[in-house]
Amino acid sequence: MLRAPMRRGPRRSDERGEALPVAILFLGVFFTILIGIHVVIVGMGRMAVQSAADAAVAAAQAAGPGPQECDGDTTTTETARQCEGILAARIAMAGADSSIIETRPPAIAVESERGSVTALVFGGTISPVLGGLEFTGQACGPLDDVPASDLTGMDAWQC
Amino acid sequence: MLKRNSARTGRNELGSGTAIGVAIIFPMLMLLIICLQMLSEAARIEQGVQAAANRAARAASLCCYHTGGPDGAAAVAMASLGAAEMSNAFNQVHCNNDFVGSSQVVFIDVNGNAVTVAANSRVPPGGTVHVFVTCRIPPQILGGFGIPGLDSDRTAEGVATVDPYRYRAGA
Repeated sequence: MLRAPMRRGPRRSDERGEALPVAILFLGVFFTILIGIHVVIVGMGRMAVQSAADAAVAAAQAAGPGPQECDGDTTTTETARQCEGILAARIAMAGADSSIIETRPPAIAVESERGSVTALVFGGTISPVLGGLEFTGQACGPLDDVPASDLTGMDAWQC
Repeated sequence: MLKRNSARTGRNELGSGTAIGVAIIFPMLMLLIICLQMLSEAARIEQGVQAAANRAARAASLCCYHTGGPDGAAAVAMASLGAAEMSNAFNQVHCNNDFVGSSQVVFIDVNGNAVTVAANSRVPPGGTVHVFVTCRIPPQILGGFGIPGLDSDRTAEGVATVDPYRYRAGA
């Protein structure tokens, strides 16, 4: 009995062995992109809060020592240095709101005896790798009315 | 039999080709992440250097009557730069060179002339104080490890205006 010759289609290569390496490659590129975005976001966030802390210290250094009300709580009174520092930090954070937002109110500590002011600024952002992140920017400096003889020593610069 | 062997060999080569591609690309991806991290750290250190220069210029512009001398404006600027290098300083400046020694303080009066740094030379009212600093930044990766031989110099200039009406309690 004659049998018609079977038509054989184009020969297909067996690509089953490539599935795992291609999957690893895809995941590797995917996570590299995520980690790269994370690194850049963390860098931007840290720089933004540090800039805000520097601005807060510069403003607090120049302000006077008198009392001022700025936190909305009339039962407590802040100093003008604290209020100016908080205002400067908030303005700086508002200017950087495309990369970071304020998570907690800034804290300005004035040490009158030693003549220094310290600012803490808190900002947060969302990373694609670790989710919500919070950064803390810290800066300090001597008050403007500290005598020059004290500024040449290191005590006035200790924070 | 020979045909079957060659076909099997062809299948294995296809899979191993992709695996080799993965082996080549993965180190490149890791290198990319390390480069991003190094650039991020370098930008942060540069920010600290610039902030130190600005702080020194501001302190020098407000503190003193005289540019030089033991309690003069230049000495105050140097003390400010030294404080930025202290281990307990916030946003500490890490440099692989003499950060304070390589810096320079220049006073410019309102006419644009340089004022000499001396104990009897007055800080120019209305003029400016310029602090030039140079920092050799070590490239840092995750955890703060530096890579020897890849240091890069960064120069920053801090400028502050001398307020002519501001009271100065210093020398």
